[in-house]
Order: sequence, then C-alpha cells, then structure tokens
Amino acid sequence: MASSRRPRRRRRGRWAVWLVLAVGAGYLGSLYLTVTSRFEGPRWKVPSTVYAEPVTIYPGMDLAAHQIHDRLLRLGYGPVAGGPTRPGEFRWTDDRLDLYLQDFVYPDHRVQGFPVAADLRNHRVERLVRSDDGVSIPSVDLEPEVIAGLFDESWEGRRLVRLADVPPALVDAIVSIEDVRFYNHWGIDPRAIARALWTDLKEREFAQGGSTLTQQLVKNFYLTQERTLYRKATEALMALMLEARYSKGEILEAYLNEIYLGQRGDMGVYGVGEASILYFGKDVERLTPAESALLAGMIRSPRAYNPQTDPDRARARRDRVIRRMVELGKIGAANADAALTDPVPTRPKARTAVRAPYVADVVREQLERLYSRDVLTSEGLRIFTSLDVEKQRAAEEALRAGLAGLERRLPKGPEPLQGGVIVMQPQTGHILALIGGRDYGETQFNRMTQARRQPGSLFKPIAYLAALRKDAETGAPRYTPVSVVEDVPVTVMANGQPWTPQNYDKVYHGPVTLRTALEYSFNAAAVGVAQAIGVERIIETARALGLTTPLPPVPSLVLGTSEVIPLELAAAYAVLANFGARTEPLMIKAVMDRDGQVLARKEIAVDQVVSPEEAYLITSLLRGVVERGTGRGVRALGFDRPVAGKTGTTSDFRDAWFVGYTPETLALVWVGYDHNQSLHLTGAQAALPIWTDVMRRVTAGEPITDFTPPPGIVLRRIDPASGLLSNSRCPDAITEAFLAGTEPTGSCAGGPPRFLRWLRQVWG
Amino acid sequence: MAAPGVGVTIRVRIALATVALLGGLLACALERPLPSDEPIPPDASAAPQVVAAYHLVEDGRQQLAIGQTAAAIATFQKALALAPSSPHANFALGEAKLRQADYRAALIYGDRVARLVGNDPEWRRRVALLRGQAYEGAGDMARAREAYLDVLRLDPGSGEARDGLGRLGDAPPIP
Repeated sequence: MASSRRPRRRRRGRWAVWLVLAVGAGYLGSLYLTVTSRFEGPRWKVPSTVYAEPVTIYPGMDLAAHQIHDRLLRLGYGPVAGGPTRPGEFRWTDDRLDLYLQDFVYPDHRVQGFPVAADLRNHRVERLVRSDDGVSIPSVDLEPEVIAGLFDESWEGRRLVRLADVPPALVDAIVSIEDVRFYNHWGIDPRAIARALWTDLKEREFAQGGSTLTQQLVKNFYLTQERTLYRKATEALMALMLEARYSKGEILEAYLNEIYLGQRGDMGVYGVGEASILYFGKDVERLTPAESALLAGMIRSPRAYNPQTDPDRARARRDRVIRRMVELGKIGAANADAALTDPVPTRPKARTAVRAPYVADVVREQLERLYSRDVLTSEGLRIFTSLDVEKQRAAEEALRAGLAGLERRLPKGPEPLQGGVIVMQPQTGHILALIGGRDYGETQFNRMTQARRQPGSLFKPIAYLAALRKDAETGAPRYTPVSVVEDVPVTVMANGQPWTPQNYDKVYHGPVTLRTALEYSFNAAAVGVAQAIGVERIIETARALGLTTPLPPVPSLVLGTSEVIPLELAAAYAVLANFGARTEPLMIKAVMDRDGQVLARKEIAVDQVVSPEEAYLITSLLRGVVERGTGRGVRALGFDRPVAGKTGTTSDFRDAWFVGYTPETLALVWVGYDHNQSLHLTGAQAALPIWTDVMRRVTAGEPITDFTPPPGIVLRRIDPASGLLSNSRCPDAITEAFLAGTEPTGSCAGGPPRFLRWLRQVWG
Repeated sequence: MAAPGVGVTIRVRIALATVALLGGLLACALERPLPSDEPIPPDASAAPQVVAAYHLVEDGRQQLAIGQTAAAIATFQKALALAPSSPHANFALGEAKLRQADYRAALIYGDRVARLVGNDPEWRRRVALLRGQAYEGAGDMARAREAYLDVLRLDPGSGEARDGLGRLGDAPPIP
C-alpha cells in the first residue's frame, strides 16, 4: 500500500511542479508581452498643445499698453539684475529692455534664442537691436503662450528627444548620480539593492529605492507608484526583460523622455526636452554641463531641487552631481570648475498662464473634423491660433466685472447671469478673444459658438442693408439714409394672427429718416421697411453676410426673432466693418506635428459679398447709433475712437446685446440667462457697458484710425429733419453718405436764413 | 601747348556738364516711377505698426523670392494682422492672390490699398496694374483694359500695362 501511495504522491508532486512552472512561465510570458508591446508601440500619449498668437515687438510699440511685462513673466522669463546672459532672462529699466529670447519652433522657421535690446522712452520702443552683433532689427517675436492642452486624462507636457540630440554631459550627469553601473548591469544592480535594503531595514520602511535607470523606467512606464515587495519584484523582472530585449541606448532614450521633472501650472513636465525649455528656455541639445548637472540632480525630487523655488538647494545638488562626475572621470577638472562657478538660473516660476478653455473646445471641435480624438490627444500636435492672450484676459476681466456689477443691481435669480464675448479683427477674420460663458468650470456650453439666441435689434442693420442695396433689376437702391420712413402702427399677419409691433418707448414717431429709425431702433419703422422691400431680400442679404441658421420669412424677422449663432452674427458685422468683404472667422492658423512639419495651414479667406459702398452706408448709420442713438452710452462711458455699433434687446428682455467696431477691431457682447428668464435690462443697459470696457482694454496701444469712404460714396451736408441738402436756413446739418448718384438735389426750406437768425439772436 | 586759361575753362565746362548730367539723371530718377518690385517706404507719419508691417512684408518678399510661397503668405498675413491698415501688407496679399489665380480676392486687397493710400500716384499706378491683371485673369477684359489705361495715364512708359493691353489686342502708341 505504502509503495503504491508513494508513486502517486510523487506524481502529484511532479504535477504541482509542472503547474507551478506553467503558471510561472505564463506569468513571465505575459510580463514579457507587456514589456515589449508597450515599448515597441507608441510609447507616450503626447497631448496636443494649443498656442496663442505670438506678440511682435517693434519700434514705436507701447510695451506697457501691450502688457509685455506680464507676458514675459507668463512665458517664464525671469528678471535679472545684470544683463541677461542666457535664454529666458530679461532686465527692464526705465530706458531699456534687455531680453534673451528663448528657443522656439514656429510653423515656418526655427528661432534659436538670441539677446535683444530695446531702447525705451515712456515705455515706448525707440530702437531694437540684436545685442550679440549690434545690428538694428525692425521687429522681434515673443514666443506664443500656451493656452490649452488637448489630452485625455492628464496634461503631460513632453517634447520627445532622440538620444543623439542629447548632450553627452547630460547623459553622463544622469548616469553618474542615478545609476553609476548602468552600462554594466542587466537591469538590476544587486549592490545598490543590498545597500537600499539595509537602509530600509534600519529605517523600518521602504525609503531607499536602489533602483537602476531601467527599473525607474519600468516603474514609471509600466507600473504604479505603490511601494510593495510584489511591485518591486515585478519591477525587477521587467527590468531584466527590458535589458535582455533592448539596447542600453534604447532604454536610455526612453528614460530621458519618461522622467517627471516638475510642473508648469496645470501641466506636468516630463522628459528632458520639455524640462530644458521650462528651466533654461532652450532646446536640450544646447544645455551646458552645468545645466545638465542641474537637470540630472532634479530627477530625485523635482520639487525639492527646483531652481525656480529653491535655487540654493538646487545649486548644492547640482554641485554634488558635478563632483560625482569628476570622481568618475566624466568631466575634466577645468570644466568642472567652470560648471561649479556657473550661476544657477534664478528665473522665478512662470506666472500663471492665461487659459482659454472655451477656445480649446472650439479648436478641438474643428480639428476633430480632420484628426481622430486619439491623434489629437496623443500625437503631440502643435496648434497655432489667432488668440491674443492679453485681449482674451482683458475681455474676461471686463465680462467678469460687468456681470458682477449687473448682479448687484438685479434681483437674485435661480441661476447665475451668463455672458459671452467675441473679439475679432474684420480684415483677417482672426478671432482675438472668445469667452463662451462666465465660468467654464461650471458649464462648458459655449454660448458664442453653440448657442442659438434671438438677436433682437441686432438684426435691423441687416434689413436696412438690404434696403440700401442696389436693386438687381433697376440698378438703384430703394432707400437712401435720408429716405423718409413711417414709424406708425402697422399690423401684419404673424402665425395667422394680426400683430402690431410696438416701440420700446411705446410711442410711434411718425415720419422719420431711415437714419433716425435705425439710430433709435424704431421697431414699427423697421417692419414697414421690411414690408416694402420684401422679407426674402432681407434673408438673401443675411445669407450673404454668412448667417446659416433657419430664417423663416415672417414679418417679425426684421426685429430679430429668428435665432442665430452669436459667432455668425459677429462675423456678419465684420463684413460691414470690412467694407463688404467677408473673411471667414479664423481661429486655427496652423497645425504642426511634433517633428516640426506643417500639417495644415489656414489662409485668410476673403470674398466681396456686399459692395464697399453699401457696407460703408451701414457703418455710417451705425456710427450715428453711437453718436446720438441707443448706443450713445459708449460715448458717455468715455470711449472716443471712431466707432459704429448697435444695441439689441429681445422680447421680455431675455437677451441683451451690443456689437460694435472700430475700423480694425470688432467686439460682440451678449448677456442673458441660459433658461431665458427676463433680465429686465436692455442691451444698452446690460451689454453696452461691458462692450465699452472690453473695447477700451483691447484697443489700448492701437493706432486710432477712421472709416474712409470708398470711391463710390459722396458726402453731403444734410438737414436731418427733411433729409434735403442743408443751406443757411437749416442750421443743424449733419454730414451724410450716399451712393454716388442717389444724393438729394433739393435744399431744405425750413426757417429763416442764418443771417436773419443771427440778427434775431443779437436783437432778442 | 594750350594756354593756361584755356585748360581751366575746359575743366569748368566739364565739371558743369557733369553736374548737369547728374542733376538730370537725379531728376529723371525722381520722376520715374519705381520699378514694381521696389518697395515704397512708408510715410514718416505712418503708425509704428504700419512701419513694422512694411518690414515684415519685405521679409515675406524674400521668402517668396526663394520659393517659400506658403511661408511668404503667412508672413504677409502676419503683417496684415499687425497693421490692418498697412497698404504694404494688403498689396502683398493682393499680389499673392493674383499668383494663386484668386482674382476676386486680389481685387479686394487692391481696393483696400486704394482706400488706404488716397492719391499717392505710385501706389495708384501699382493698384491699377494689379487690378488690370486681376480683371484680365478673371476674364473681365473691359475692366482690365480700363485699368491698364489708368496705369498708362500715370506712367506712360509702363511696359507691363502695354504688355497687358497687347494681350487684350490693344496696342497703344509708344509715347
């Protein structure tokens, strides 16, 4: 019996051994698969980076008005007492700015940082010179600011580098301080582990790692950060596999791209490529031995040895790295001495960046038509936009302050008051600022690009443009700015019901000029004009201006009862500002891959959709809105540039709008509630003050330009009451614009001649 | 051997003739319109942005000369964004659009320049030539002819306008 039991037990033992071996082999096989599949596939998901427009500095520029100091701090430039000697440093005195530009790869060229000096007078640049060769230069670009990242889970900033591009001093420094036997071990270093275990046993905790570079790579690349023996054993196994399968060079290159080296605001900085830009403002291949040692020293604790927060500690650590390199013969004594005396960069941490999350969403949405979401979040694309960071910030501040001020005046509602701003450049279509809501953290719904809102009276200029345009058949317009229209009760059928539009002031003003009707936004007059020219003609004009939302041909269309997308409305007004030429609203200017190849480039697209003369007429009328009409608050608030604008208010005061433009900048402001409660305020009360604040800020430092009439326009002095040519009998003349050939020929007949009026004044 | 007084007189005459010749050449140079590829420097009263845009446009022209068309257009657009009222940026984009056979856009930029430069004869000549070429490209021969004749009114020696008219079948008399 016993003899028969023994073989069975032996067989069971053999089975157990086989089972253990099989399980072990399976486990090792799966580990090996994990190691190789990740290492040979795309190793990192590199988020796309969204950049704002770079700012150009030129002689004559007012640096204070353009907030250059703030921009420098946000870009990571640090002030230094002496002259700047390395990228990312600047010195600013009353009469001079010395600046050492950082490296940057633009879509068309690569800039290697160089020193620039600007002579200043009252913050204004008088002369720009390259400090290294003394040559005058006409302008220089500050690198664009990062406004967003497109990522899935976390924002890991990473610029991939090849081992061949990394200076040997950096590799030597890292190997010297982190893993001196890197080139000799098989992935684990028993001596280092023994030393670490001994320390851990003494301390009764897992304090010392003893990890090789390969193990560190495995830990960061494949495993979690937990500190358990099981994880440590897995790490060791995987390190052995990695070393067995790949060369030291491949492992080192992966390591250099993987290591965590700090934070830039909400973006984690990974790899020596990104870190080199963050801490030294230059590409990794240009790092000096001292900088290499500093970076190598930070690997153990990027927080503790950060030169931006604790330069003394960072310096001590750097010096330790250099001395270790000397011990190992990796650096000569003379070079080491020079590196030891090299000052640590003292740039402070970059000032918090301006983030534009609504813009990032628009960018992502537009690019998802070209690239998959996976590509956008993992391929490290670099996306260059038209956004002007300072204008964005200014618009945000104006909106935030404006809404807060309104809320103090309004009864507390069930939801927060919302608002949105668009700032555009009419000639290029560039969107310079875009705010889709009050707080992106609260709601990501973009009220400027995704919402459809009734425009109210903002639609009237489109109708009046249709009225002022030349008729295709007759070749003449139906109306001129001085045509008399009737602001009287008019009843039209709407949805099968009779409807009589009323004016805001509940008064009908009788016969008025078309100019007066628009300047004071008379509803009854507008409906009368729309009836006379036909709603279809208005819709045709709206389509030419770029409105794409459904516009039912109903009489109330002219009063803005059909919903539109605010961005399209802004673009439609940009056509007016741009003398009838429509430029496609443009946010993304270029897309590059991480190797610097331009994948896509967007040119300004322009098309003449309305004649320059017709567009100018509306601009002329809208200037009157600001000078005398419903938009005169703009002047009362002190904005004195040549400007055209229009207020808008929808029924029950659900939406308050103001849109207006100078010759070179257009802004649209909307205020309202997401669920359409009444604001109890008009566009002039709620949106206009915010618009004025936005424009005052975003046009600071820009030249003052006026609207120049195009050749087919004639200007005449007109009596505003009669719409006829003025003479000495009509004293209150205004200058009116006409399409050539449509100007009035008759003179006004009102009142006595000027001489008699003067006599009357003199003699009482 | 000539008398000493005679030699002095000849030297004076030669000097006077040289001065007259140089003066004449200078006057001609001032009168003659600049070649189309020569930049028109901005006015002393131009806004700093406009001056900076002018230099950018010159950079863009150099890019264009070495075949970097996309980069050149990007530079012109950058100049326009910096100074929307820059005649240089608008004109350069007009020319670029002409090269791309986008004649409508070329005309829009040409119109903008015309609004911006007022009565400056050199700018008017260049805009008229741009218009002539754009209208010709677009197949609007009547307007092209009108534009080329405008060029000739401003610069009777314009070979480009003559060539244009020649292509349209009109051979203008040589002045």
